[in-house]
Amino acid sequence: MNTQTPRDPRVDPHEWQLQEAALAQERGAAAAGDGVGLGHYRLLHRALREVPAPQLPADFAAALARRVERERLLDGRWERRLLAAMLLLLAGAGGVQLFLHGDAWLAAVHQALPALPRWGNGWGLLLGLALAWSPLSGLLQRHSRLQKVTR
Amino acid sequence: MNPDRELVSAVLAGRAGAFERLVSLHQGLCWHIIQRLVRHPEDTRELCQETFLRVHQYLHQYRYESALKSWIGRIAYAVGLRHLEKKQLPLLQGDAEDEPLALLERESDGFDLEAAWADEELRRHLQAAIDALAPLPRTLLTLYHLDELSIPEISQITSLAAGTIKSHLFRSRLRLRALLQDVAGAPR
Repeated sequence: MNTQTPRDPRVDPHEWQLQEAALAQERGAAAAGDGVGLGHYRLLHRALREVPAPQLPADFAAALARRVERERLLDGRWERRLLAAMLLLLAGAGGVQLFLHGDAWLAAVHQALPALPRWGNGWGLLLGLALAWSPLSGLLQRHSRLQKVTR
Repeated sequence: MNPDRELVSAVLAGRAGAFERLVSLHQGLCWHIIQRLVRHPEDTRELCQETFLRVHQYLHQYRYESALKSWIGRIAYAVGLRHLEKKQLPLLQGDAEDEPLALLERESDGFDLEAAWADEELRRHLQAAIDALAPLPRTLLTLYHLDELSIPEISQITSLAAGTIKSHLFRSRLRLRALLQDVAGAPR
């Protein structure tokens, strides 16, 4: 309770004290006193202490927590689907580029590195790419598993 | 660790049951604020849900500058206000709030509090009068008397100056007392 607020000319100090004294009495913080005004304000405090109808549904918190969890899972699922779609798109675009310009890139690599062996007509390069992919996919799987655990 | 900090960390870490605990702890305050502002059961339920969904969404932005209770109360109040604005409902009923109030007599004895409290009709009158107050004073009275928040705490939730809150509390209680005096004095 705070009575140290700026003085307002519309607030009569005696009546305010009466209101606050009634509040203190009802809260057991002051000895009960007599007087009609005090009685009225004590009655008013009791009425204001009554929880307004309708009351809060009993399962409100549990239902809300379930809803939040459901939405979070749904968001996570969409996020994973979107990521998979993006990766597929990226792989597709990479494949197309490789198909269109692969020969030129291979020739450029061979030209730039004439000392290296011929990589068996590009099969060696493909093998190198496959070897690089397997730790990358392992990392992705581990990230996905971690996300499931923290949910 | 501060209980607010502990709870917020648990919710942000996605620990099982943490968000439900947060809602359970603060749902009463949220419900009272919104219910007193909008006075519609279905809207109250929906707006309370909206409040806690926002709390969940923006909890990472909570900086512990005020108690978690006040932060959640502020969101509930903002959600309730926006609803009133959308429905074009006034927060204050201008004329009734501005009219001067005559101070009541300061009689000495003669009021049986327990008998008055047992009088169902009188209590109904009183509840009807509380319900008939404008949304803002009704909400301020509930926060002060039912939720036992101090004026500075109410100020954090509503962003109103402490003097304004005090003035609303004073005038609403005086108005209700005047009504009580009329009803209690009348033969029934």
